[in-house]
Amino acid sequence: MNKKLTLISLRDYWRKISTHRSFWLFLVGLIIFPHFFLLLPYHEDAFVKAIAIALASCLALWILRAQNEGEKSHQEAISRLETINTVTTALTQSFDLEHTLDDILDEVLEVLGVEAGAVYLLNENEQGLTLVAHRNLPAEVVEETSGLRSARMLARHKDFKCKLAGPLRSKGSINGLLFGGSRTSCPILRQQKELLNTICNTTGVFVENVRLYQERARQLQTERCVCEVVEEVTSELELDKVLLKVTRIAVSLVEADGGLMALWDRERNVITYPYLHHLPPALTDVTVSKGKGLSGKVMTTGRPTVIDDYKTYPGAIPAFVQAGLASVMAVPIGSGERIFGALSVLSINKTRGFSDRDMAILTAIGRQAGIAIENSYLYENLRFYARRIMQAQEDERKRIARELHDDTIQSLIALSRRLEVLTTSIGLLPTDAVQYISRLQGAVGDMIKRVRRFSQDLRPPILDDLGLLPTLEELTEELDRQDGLKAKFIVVGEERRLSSEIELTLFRIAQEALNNVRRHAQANSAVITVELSNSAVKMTIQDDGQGFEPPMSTEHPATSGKLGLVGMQERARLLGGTLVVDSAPGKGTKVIIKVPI
Amino acid sequence: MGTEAIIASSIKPQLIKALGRQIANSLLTQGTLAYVSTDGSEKERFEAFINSICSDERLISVWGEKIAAGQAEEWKALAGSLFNE
Repeated sequence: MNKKLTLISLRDYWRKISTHRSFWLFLVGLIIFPHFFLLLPYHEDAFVKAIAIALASCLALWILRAQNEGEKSHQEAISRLETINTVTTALTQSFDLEHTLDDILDEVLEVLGVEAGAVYLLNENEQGLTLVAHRNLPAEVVEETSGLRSARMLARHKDFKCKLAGPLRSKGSINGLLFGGSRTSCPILRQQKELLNTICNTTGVFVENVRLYQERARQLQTERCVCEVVEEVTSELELDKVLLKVTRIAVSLVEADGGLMALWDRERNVITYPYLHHLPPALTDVTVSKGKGLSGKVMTTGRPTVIDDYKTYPGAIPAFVQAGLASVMAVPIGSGERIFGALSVLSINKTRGFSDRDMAILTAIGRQAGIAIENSYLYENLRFYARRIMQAQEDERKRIARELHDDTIQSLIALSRRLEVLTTSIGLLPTDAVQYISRLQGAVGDMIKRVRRFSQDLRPPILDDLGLLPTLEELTEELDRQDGLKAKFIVVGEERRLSSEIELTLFRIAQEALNNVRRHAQANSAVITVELSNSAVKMTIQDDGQGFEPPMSTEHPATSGKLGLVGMQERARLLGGTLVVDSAPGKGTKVIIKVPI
Repeated sequence: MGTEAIIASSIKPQLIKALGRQIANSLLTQGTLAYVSTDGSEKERFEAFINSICSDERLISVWGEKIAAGQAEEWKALAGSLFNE
């Protein structure tokens, strides 16, 4: 063991001293000089021998030096490979572009033998460079806001005695720039340039990969947002809410500073800007005539348009210039051949570029906004027709009720009177016949009551004559009187007449709700409360019956099987109101209707 | 007048006028990459910058080869006085 250690030490010692030139010179001198001066009697022989030995020594020295240089270049090659390995490892660790490039920069500068360096990346729309990582750069280069000027400034900076720069490449196209520089003079070797090229190519591929990954993530985000827009468009019927949200989503997807939606106001024959995002609210007051302004142009041509510098745009609207609009991209909002308006996203106070992707996203959103507006118009039309149908139905009911009251009931009363006359005419008819006629008279009396009630249900005259509140009071009393329910009617707020449409709607809803109480609830008591305020009327019909599981949605009557509820809901919605059913098995039922006045 | 001044006052406005801001910026970026990657004097770098811009197909499709080459010479001459100073 000790022997082995000694051998290793001796070998190490030999290796150490054998690399020193002075050791070999000393050895050569030790051999030559004694020969030359002391040992050989013939000085000529001694001289030749000394020269031969000196030449042999020089050869040995040259071989040794070559060996050393080979060793050195081998070490350098290993070091370069290690750097490439380190850089490649760092580049495959993360998708965080800026941090990773910052991390590898020190390593790259060390192996290139320079103390200053920078990485610039080509912006994704290929418009300019961005300084993403730097070391020991002059302050003015770092502080320069334009990446292009900063890179050019760095390339010609006098502080750097030697400079190295390489483009980051992937698939033959450049996506950035790596710069290294030294303030002291340093020879730039071929190997350094090759190493720089290798690192640049590896980094270029990394940048491309990260960008593809980011693009994919953005696409997913875009798809999610477009889905959100579609969901919003299909689930929300309130156009204001939908269009405001659509504008907001468009701004966020394109990473713009703000956005606006221009719509064609058919009544006033002008273009208005009702939906703004991150813009002064006063701009909603701006109106322009048909075809004017950027939105007007887009609405006329139906083509997306990008304005790089809005201030210099001939059709610029002064109020928007004052608001700081810089670059604007506008797309039409339409459905099929119809164009309803224009959707714009914009930068404020600073110009920017919009990519093809931005335009594709905004166009898709514009189309969805168009569908929302189309849906809204269809819904408005539907509501209009539903109201007309309901009105016609009510008019018909009123006519039938009047007919029943004025004609049928009067005829039945007349018949009853005649039958009464017959029964009171003593001796005219046999007793059996009198009894029979008397029963007929009773039946006619019942018939009159039923027809009168039917007529009342169709359209109580009290509703037109005295209004909703007395009618509901009457309805409550009837429930108490005829169905044995403890019914109560409460009015909160100042009692007054409402519009005939609201009164009729609330009466029909109350009628349907009380019919449900009578038929299904098995309740002991019911309370109708009407709360009147300046802006709305709220009616609550509450019972203490068996309750039920309300359907999740009244939008699908066929599946929920609650057509009565759907009818009530639809009536409330036609007046812009809401209807909520609060019930659970064993907990009674509460129907709350709120209608704006 | 320095290189930056020539770019800002002459090259950039002419490119924007001919191709619009978006393509002009793209060409200037491409030129800057050539400028920075060129190993040589400021004159050689500037020439690489101009050559990169004036050899771009988008520019040639608008100006034609002859005008693009003429313009390149004009810009180089403009900068030539600067490098001779």
